Amino acid sequence: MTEYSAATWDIAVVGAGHAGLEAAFAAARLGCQTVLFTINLDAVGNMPCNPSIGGTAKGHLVREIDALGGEMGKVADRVFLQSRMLNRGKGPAVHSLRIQADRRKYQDIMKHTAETTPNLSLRQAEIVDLRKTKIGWEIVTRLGAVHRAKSVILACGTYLQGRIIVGDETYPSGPDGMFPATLLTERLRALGLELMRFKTGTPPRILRTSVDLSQLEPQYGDTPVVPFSFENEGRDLGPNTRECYLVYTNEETHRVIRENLHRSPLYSGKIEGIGPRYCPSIEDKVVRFADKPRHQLFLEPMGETTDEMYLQGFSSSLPEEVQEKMLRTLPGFSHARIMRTAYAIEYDCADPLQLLPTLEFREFPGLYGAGQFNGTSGYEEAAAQGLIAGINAAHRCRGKQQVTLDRSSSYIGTLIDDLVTKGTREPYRMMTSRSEYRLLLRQDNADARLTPLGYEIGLISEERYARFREKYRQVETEIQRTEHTWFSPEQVSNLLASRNSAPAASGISLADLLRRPELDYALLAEVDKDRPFLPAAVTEQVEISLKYAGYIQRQLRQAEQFRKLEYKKLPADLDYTTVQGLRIEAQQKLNKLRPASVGQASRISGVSPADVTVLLIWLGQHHSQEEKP
Amino acid sequence: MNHTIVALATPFAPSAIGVLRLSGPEAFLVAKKALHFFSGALAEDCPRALAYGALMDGDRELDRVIVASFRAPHSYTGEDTVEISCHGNPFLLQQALCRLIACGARQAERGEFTKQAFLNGKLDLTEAEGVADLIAADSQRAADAALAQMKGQLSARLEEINTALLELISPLLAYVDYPDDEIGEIPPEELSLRLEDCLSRIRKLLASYSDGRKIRDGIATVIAGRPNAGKSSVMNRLIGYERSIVTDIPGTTRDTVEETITLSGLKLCLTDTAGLHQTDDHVEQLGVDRTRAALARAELILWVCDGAAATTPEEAAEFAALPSGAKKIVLLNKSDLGIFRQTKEFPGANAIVTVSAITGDGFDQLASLPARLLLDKPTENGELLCDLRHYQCLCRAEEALTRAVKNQRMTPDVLLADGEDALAAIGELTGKTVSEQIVTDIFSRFCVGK
Repeated sequence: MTEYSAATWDIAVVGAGHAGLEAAFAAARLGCQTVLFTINLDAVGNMPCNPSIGGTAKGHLVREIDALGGEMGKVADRVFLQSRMLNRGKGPAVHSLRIQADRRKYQDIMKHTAETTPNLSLRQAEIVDLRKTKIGWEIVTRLGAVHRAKSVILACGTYLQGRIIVGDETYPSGPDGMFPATLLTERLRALGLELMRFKTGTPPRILRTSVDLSQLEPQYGDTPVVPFSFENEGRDLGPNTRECYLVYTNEETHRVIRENLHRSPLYSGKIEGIGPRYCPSIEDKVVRFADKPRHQLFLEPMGETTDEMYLQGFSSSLPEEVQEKMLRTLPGFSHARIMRTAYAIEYDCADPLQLLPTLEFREFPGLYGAGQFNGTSGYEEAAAQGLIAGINAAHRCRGKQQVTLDRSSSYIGTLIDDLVTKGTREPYRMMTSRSEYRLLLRQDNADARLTPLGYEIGLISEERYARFREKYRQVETEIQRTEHTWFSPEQVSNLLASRNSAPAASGISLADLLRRPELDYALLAEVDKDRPFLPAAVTEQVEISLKYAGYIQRQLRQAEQFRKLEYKKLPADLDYTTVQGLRIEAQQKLNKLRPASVGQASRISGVSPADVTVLLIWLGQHHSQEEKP
Repeated sequence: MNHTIVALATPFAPSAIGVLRLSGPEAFLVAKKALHFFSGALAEDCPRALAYGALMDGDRELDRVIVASFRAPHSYTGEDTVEISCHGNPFLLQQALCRLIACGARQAERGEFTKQAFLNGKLDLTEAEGVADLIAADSQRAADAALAQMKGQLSARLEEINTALLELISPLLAYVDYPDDEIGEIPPEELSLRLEDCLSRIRKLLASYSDGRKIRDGIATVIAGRPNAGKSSVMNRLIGYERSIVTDIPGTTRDTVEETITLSGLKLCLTDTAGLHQTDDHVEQLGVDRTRAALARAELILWVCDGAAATTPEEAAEFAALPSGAKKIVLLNKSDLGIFRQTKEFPGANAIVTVSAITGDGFDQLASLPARLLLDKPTENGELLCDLRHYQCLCRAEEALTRAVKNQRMTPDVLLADGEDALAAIGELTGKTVSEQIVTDIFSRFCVGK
């Protein structure tokens, strides 16, 4: 192959999936000349797995991305077929927004946004080499074009050495029939990156008109639609009329699966990659939970202009013919036609323990990783990392300080900290159980947590920031009003009695009424006659702040303690064997992972509380580099 | 993680004064819960303050104390600090420490006050280096100790609590984390039962704690009685050597005298006291007052009376007035002179023994009694919780679950927060991290995910 010098960029992003897109948008918007490579322009922002965005913890991530000035939420608000707030009634910390997306429309908007964003160039090319130069990086395309960049962000998803497995059949492939990136892996290894092999999978796609939907249980969206983007707060996003359908497997389905288990590549050993526990294939579920008489499936629309539907819960790597047989056993599916066969896919990805919390590779300045390439799973997890990698690559170009989010600030921070501190042995998915600050990190207050930072970085406009400040000024004013609005016991006796709430012994404030679990803001309108008209987003904050004040306060105190150690920064070049008093195991782990802060060090397995104290004292003696939040 | 810490700042040995030091963001809060002030208050509006009050355990007064408080940053550690000067009885100090932990403080790790002081810029490097050495040396010992501790019954019991907590949390978390999967809501009654189950397991283990302490630190035992009944002779007989000055002039012992002995394996912290009677002598009266104070704190009272003399109404009244919380053994002394008493003269006595402090008669019989009376409820399997750190972690777990019980009408997200706090507290003992445990548990228990 003859190489030629093609162009020079500030930042090159490899892969235009959800991670690559956010990375490229952030970098370009922060003023960096950015090129975004994709192996196929028709796969920009693709959703090769499920056609939905959000869900538990993932919805939180989308909100956080939006609060920082990312793109995902805004586009999701334009393309939803169905929108639901999951977990209503289970508490604000776990409310989770999820939409079914019009997949093509999402791709079109993302692609067009990339085409029209200043400083951003979108280019179809397979990247086959990555080389370190004196001043930065060179990347080489399949056709020999050499692009120079100060920073490179790898966001190659499941393309690296991708291999699809269906039953006995296996062949090299990227997701959704795209061709795989077969040459880059070797070059990354040669560079010195440690790679892992992961596996994931997707269920079959079914032709809508071949299913008797009358035998299925429809599921509807919510009204009014809650937007993902804080920019759309209070706006009408249009109708929410498309249905999903609920259907169950039965004994017959399970019999077909059991009879064909020997043909599953998982059980025959054909699959080497490590799959995620939370995306079990249907054969996995049947084997592991043999006593369950049925498993729940959802048939979900994939677009306004297509009859192709996604059968959530039916992931499989059984042979195609078995998939057909399994499918026919479902009620309403006796004539169902598969449009795309379910498959498992294996791919190469980087061990995230090589990354700094900025998502830059510790040993390779200017090289960043994001998304599935870093060992995660999910569009939202990918987009979140892309955004942070993009911001940091841009800051690096501009000579500005790198941005890291700590665990107490966000799910994004928790995700990245888990990845770079603990690593992962399966594709990492965000769950609310991963956060110890769940009551603080709610999807409703992502703006309060992150928009000031997004503004400071430069991804939030003056206008949006002003609106944000006005919103929280109103919240503060209304909280004050509730504290100073009093009722006599007689004024509220009927209301309290109707909700089985204890009568007020003496005068009671509106705030105290709101603190009672059985009462809420809307209900109290009956007695609170002079209340101002306020947007729902404002009253929601007021209500949560009051009702959960005790819990929020406690977690705030915990977070404050936690941050003390997070802001004790450790020097990147410290040789831990020279630190007196550290145990040998701790020295080795610390030398390998080179934590950014004492806080991060404390979460590394093998580093004891005593080691942490030793580090603190060492710091006091030698550096005293304390950054303030 | 609780960052308000408490520890004994003076040696754990009998002394005139013992100082407990509380430090951290909630030091004042904890102090206010545990103390009742007679005069003065905490340094909430000024850099430092001195106050006088009582350390309370519920309605019970543990001790009269002097309270010095320092508002951050005007303290040794640089954080809000409260120093409580108690009387220097190890058993009392231990109780006081437990009380402060129950009020929300956490037992300080070795060197932790100094660490805080260093972190807040209150110490110079030389001092800090000393702490580093101390901690480095300590970590191996602590690791060895922890390993030894984790073997055996206690570890099994903690494991059971851990499992019970997981059974509480996992379904709740699966229910919120997997709304699409068929995971039903846990009915409120079921949730209550599981909470109560966890709580009762924790409380049971906590209850075994006082026995553990009793064995380790001894029983507060007071020798009391009318003047010249032979209390000091009994004490001396028990100790095996002459400590008190024994005379036959009533009222010789004006102060309280303390000693530790072991009877049938149980450690008794003996306090010999001035005889109880009405007196005009001012110094003697002070002694009598101290006796009463000692009795108020006693777990075991050895009531010594002159068996050779008849019961007087004053003596009957004094005996009846003994604190009801303590176990009482009546020693009918001077058996060598003949016994003229009836057992029914001592209502409320747990045992009556005829002894002679002069000849030593009856002391064999006495020897086994304290253990029988005080350790009559060994926990199942005989395992005992005897480590303060374990105790305080369990206290935190209990506190979190108590909060959950109280807030059952709140949404599942906050119940989870409480449950996880409890699991985290137990995790500090078992070394398991909360998040990974729960995630693993959910995947093994529920068929979730798409």
